[in-house]
Amino acid sequence: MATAVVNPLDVTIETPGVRAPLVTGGHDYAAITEMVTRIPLDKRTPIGWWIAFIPSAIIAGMFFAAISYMICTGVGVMGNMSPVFWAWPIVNFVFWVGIGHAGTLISAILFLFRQNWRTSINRAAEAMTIFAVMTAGVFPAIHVGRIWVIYWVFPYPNQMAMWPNFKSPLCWDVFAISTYFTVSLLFWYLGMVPDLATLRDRAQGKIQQFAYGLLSLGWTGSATSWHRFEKAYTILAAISTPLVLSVHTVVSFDFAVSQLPGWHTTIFPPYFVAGAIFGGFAMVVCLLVPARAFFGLKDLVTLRHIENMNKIILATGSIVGYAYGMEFFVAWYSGNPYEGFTFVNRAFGPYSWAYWTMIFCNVVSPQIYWFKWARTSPLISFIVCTFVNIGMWFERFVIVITSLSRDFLPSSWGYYRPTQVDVMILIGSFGFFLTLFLLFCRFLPMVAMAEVKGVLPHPEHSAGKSGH
Amino acid sequence: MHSQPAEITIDRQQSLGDISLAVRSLGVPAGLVCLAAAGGLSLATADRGIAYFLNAYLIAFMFFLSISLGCLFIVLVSFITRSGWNAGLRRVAEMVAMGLFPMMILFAPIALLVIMGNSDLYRWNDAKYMQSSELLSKKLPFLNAQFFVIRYGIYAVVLCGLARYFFRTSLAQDKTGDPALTLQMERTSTWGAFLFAFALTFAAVDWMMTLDPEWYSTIFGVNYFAGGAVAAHAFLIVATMTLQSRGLLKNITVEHFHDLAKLMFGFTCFWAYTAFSQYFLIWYANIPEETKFFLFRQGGQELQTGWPNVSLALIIGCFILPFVGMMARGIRRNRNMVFFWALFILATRYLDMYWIIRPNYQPKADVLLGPTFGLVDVLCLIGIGGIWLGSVVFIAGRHPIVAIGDPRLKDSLRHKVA
Repeated sequence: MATAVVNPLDVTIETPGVRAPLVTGGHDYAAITEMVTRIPLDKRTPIGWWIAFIPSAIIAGMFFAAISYMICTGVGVMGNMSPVFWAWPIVNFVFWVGIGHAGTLISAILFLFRQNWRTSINRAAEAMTIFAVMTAGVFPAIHVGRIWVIYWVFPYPNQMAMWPNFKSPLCWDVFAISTYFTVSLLFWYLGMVPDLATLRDRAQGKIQQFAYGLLSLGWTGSATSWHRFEKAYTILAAISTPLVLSVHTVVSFDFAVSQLPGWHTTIFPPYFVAGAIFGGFAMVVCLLVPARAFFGLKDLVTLRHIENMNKIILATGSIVGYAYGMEFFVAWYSGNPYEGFTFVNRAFGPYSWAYWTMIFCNVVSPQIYWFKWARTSPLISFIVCTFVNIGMWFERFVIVITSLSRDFLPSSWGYYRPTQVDVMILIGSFGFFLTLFLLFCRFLPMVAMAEVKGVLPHPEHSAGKSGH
Repeated sequence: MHSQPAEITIDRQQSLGDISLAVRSLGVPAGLVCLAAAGGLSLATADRGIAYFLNAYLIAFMFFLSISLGCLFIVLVSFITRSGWNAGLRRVAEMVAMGLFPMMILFAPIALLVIMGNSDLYRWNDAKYMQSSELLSKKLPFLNAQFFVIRYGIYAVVLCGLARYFFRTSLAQDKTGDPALTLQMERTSTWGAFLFAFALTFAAVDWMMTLDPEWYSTIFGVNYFAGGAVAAHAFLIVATMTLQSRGLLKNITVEHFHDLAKLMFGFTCFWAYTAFSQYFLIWYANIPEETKFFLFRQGGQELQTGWPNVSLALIIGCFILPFVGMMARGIRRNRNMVFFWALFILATRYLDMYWIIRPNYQPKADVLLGPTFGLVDVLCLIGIGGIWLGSVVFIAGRHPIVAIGDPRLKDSLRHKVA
């Protein structure tokens, strides 16, 4: 009934009724194992990896140097001023937490929706999630100024009888993010155990054998192990799903429970979640487009994967655009003069440059994804996703800074400018994040081999034919 | 790995028209009679008048509208995601989405009353009231009869146009089985979803949120959409099971019901999420023109109206019970239990509409009215429901109840939940 696949090599062509293969190149089980394991097991580290790693590590060093300087000198070295008391760190924090959404969305929600294409990208995306949440966690810790008493944010019985304010969403943030981080880490690690065992079994060096042996927790691959593994995986997926939503929901509460115009609006929770997925997927594309080329994973992370992610970016970007629109409409419809002023001020006030940067990057640039040639071009994807990352950072900047900088009384107006330390911390955070991600690429299985093998069409058949 | 059934056959002659003659021929007339009776009854009761009837009419209207909108959403998303598992039951959703035609006609009387200057339902149509406060007078460019009716026209064209396009194209595919039509519908579904989101949001804002012209909430459209998605899945389950008991849709198995129940469960959570976001943020910030919506329904301060009980019933009925009740996999694979929860959810969807709309019926300025429910409400529910269902069956007519030309149908027939 259905026509044959026009070109079995081009998986981006959709023929209704025929499911395109998720992996190209007609590889069998052994070939996939070889393709993935040779990266961490290779004794010689590729030069290209060093070329990326060394600058990243230097920038990460700068990150910690700037933070140390800030802690030793005091938070006064940051640009925070009256009335913008809450500035750079919260912007960076929300940005990085947002990035940390795609991984668990791919692993948990796409898993529950039976989107099998996720298997090629979930491992790297989850790793990215963990590193992004780690990066995010730095900011609330450092911005308090006295980092040596940061444990006060946790509620524990103490002789000072001092408790965090349970009525504050900032307090809920501590719980939401630490829970999310813990579950994401468990999910990532659990999914990696069978692959770590494969590395253990193929490792040549003593140190490698020991390290992977330790990490693989004595995995034997028996039927019982697999049975329990799959049960645990499903349960963790179900637990992670509400967590993905809860984290950015609580982050949005940080703003939306207030009465500040531009912060207080009821659409904030789903709008923040959609924005986080939007930004998170853009980061996955930015990392995987170079990684798949460099590590020779183009048959696993195919153009169809890139296209699917770009479609999700277009969809979630549209949800974000919808929220921008609703905010604007209700700012006018409410008749509230402060609300109305805030939005006009955003678009035409002193920070209009930031606002229009955000609109261009988040709303205009993804529109090119309406065209298939753009969705399936790694280069264009990389460029657009870089724009999206910039735009999502500016979104948080616009929300935080424009609302604060013009207080209710014009006498309390100000213009916030970041200092050099601020800028160094922001750039440095990328270095920290990339360092961790590059270490992951070098030493851990970047693709979930066991899961990819599960979605191969007919692995026992000869190469080149999509077995339909 | 999958054990594939040797041969799957579907009866190509299956259609609604053969089995539902009663609904087809009696639905619309009976509905009209019920509505007339409801109107008459309401007018005959001295202290109620047309205002009560319109309020009851709108509750039933928004309820059935949400089912049709939800079904259109299911159709759109099925094409956007190239979904295969539900190809065998998508036709039912396409048919229910065609119920947008009678629904858009059923809104015409309200639009007509608004253009004639009636402000019994929409207070903003009263010029004196709108001039009474600065806040309200600012909204006149949006809240006026002419623009309201123009917007209604736009929603009607967009929503009916989308429903008709997918129904007709899918029917055309029945004859040819041309996969190009699937690709065409996939392309339309993407930008169609934009139009759909726009029309649904502003329809919800216009027809329900502006009942209290002072109140506003940016998530309101999302909340109505989420409720519609829940209602549509529940209705699909009820409809499919009912049709199966008449010998149709034999190829829909427990696997499909399991997935439908999962989606119903998921959207129930999403609805609760939007409802909670709306409540929580408004409660926390406590801005007067926002809080009034919940203050009344929560019966705060000196109000002793009985509305808090309805609010409580809403939380328990729309979220807590279905959430706990449908959590177990065994229940979602149990036909009778799924049927029960689908019916239960449909009932609570009506409650949600009631909870939003009914408090706006306040005939006396000095006394606040508690929850009321009576024969007029029941007659409106049957009336609008009868016209809606009768029209759906009439439109569906003798067309196949399964999209027999869909190239992904075989995915659906072999569907197994892993």
